[in-house]
Amino acid sequence: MFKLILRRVLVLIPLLLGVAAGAFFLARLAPGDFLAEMSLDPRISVETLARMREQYALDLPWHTQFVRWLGAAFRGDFGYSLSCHCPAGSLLYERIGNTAMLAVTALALALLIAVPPALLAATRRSSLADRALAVLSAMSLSTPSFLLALLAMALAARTGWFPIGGVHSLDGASLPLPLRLGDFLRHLILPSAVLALRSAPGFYRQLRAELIETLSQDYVLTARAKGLPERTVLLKHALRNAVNPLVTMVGNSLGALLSGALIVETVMSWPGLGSLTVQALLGRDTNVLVACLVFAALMLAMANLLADVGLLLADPRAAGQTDVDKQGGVLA
Amino acid sequence: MSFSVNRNLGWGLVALGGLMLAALLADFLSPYDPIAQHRESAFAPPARLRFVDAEGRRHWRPFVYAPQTRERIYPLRLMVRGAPYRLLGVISCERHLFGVEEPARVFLLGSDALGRDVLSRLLHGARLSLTLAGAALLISLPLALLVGGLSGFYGGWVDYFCMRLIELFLALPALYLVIALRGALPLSLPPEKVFIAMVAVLGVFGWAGLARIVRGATLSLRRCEFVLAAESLGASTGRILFHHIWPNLAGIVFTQAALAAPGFILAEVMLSYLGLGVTEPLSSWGGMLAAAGGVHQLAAYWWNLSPGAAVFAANLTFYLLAEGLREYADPRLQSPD
Repeated sequence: MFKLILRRVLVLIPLLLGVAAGAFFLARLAPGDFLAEMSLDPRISVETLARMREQYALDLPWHTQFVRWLGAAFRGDFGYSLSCHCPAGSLLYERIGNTAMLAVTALALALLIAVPPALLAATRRSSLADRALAVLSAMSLSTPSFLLALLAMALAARTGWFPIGGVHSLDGASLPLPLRLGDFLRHLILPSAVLALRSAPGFYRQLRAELIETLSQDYVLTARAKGLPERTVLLKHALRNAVNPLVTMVGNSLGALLSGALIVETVMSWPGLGSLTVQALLGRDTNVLVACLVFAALMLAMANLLADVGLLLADPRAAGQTDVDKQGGVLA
Repeated sequence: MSFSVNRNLGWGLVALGGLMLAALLADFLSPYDPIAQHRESAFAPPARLRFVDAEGRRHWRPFVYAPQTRERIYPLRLMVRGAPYRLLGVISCERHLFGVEEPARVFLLGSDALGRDVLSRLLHGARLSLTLAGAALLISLPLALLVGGLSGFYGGWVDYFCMRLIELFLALPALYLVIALRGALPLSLPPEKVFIAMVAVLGVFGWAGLARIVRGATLSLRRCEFVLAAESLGASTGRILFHHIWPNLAGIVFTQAALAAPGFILAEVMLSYLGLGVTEPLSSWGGMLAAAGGVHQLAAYWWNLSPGAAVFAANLTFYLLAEGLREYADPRLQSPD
């Protein structure tokens, strides 16, 4: 297993380098930069601009800039954010934590939402509940996260039960620790619920199909024939074996989860990596944008690695299969 | 093999036909010009079609009142004269499917902050979203077939190179990739160039995931006896791809296209929402959602969320299509549930 992890981490290095180079190249492709906007400001002289351009190495060709950037990035320096007047790295670290928190909570919530109905639907096939859940899952698969996020915001505005956007209340910093944690959780509920509702129907459908498959296996029949209570059969024999493909599916859906997080963060003003990326793009803050993209790729790769390790722990037979290309071409 | 169209596919095709018809005939179906502002009736709620007037008389034809008055009724008329347009881009025309006499207005889905008819804007936004998704598919599908097909067919270093390229595109979560690609273009573009830019961004964004699936399928078809037979008969690579491999991929490709379409629509909505796509005064679903304003406005004027419902309808359509196509391509999947 350590060999597997080591190999995956080694493969990661050229991939991240590629993403960084690609992001750098794309960001420099567009005409104009942050300083181009400053040149419209009559208070800033041409000489100052030229000096700044030299200071930030913006006058060099993109590959030279990239090599310099890379050298600095290895030392943990992701350049200077021109719009925030601070190092890009310091902007990122807090945001990454927020996004990870959002994604992990949403994932847990999605599984909580998906598993009980899947058990119900798989044991009572073609029942009214099963049909209703099929319609419900199709509907919620089709609901765009935009709409959900906006509806959640409207709900928060109408009822006042939840805060509108952000991670902390205005006086959050002055609260004692337990209250501050509660405050954070109160802010977390709506965004993670919205994100969870996007992922849950996919998990539900997968788990239901797997459970139906497992319940028709001979060992389930044996367990029933032994006279085990139905609950034990369902939870210990069927569910335990149906979980493995679900772990794979969770792993495959992580990209979509981070994508969805970007929308939720932007619409619900959750200060995460996604909203920072959007801000960096709108503000032409190239250093921050490139760093954001690299960290998004890193996050996805780490999440995928964790999912593979999880699968290995859940199902040791999978050891030979993890290198097989995953065939999940999900776009968003 | 059964050639009867299954239920999902049938409904999906009907819904897609409806959406496309609505987009194609947007000018005719919408009662007003999508950019015409009726400032005196900003944020008008969805029009109430009445049958009983203020004096309690019944009318057989639905009618509306003019704003702030109950003196006269304005019955809903079909094929009314309105803002001139070009039907299908060619026939010059000024008839609209329905409408009412001035000064009354019929905003079936209400109006936005500038008093523009939400329904008209929604229909024109559908035209934009569907055209963009279609154009993006027309770019990414051939690209995916070519790269995936060659990669799976040749194997070796071609495959290695193509797969690394695909992995590079899939290394970023989808919407981050859209942002990275959009970052390569100027932030504000003139309206006539925005469309081309969006097609380019969405087309490049979608191809990698599709290519990987095409490659996998090609790889397994490559070892099939009919392909080996064609090869040993001396068929060229192009001929094998065209006549033997791609026709067999049709089912997978159409299913994947239907699965990918909501992703394209979502990406378009996101870019327009951020003001990086089609911008005002042109109507797009994302732009409408952005213009719907802050949370308090949204809570009060809920009908401005209708573009979200439109995306929902489009997603549901493609979901049905994808499910139906999957069953159609592989009838063994058809199960009683």
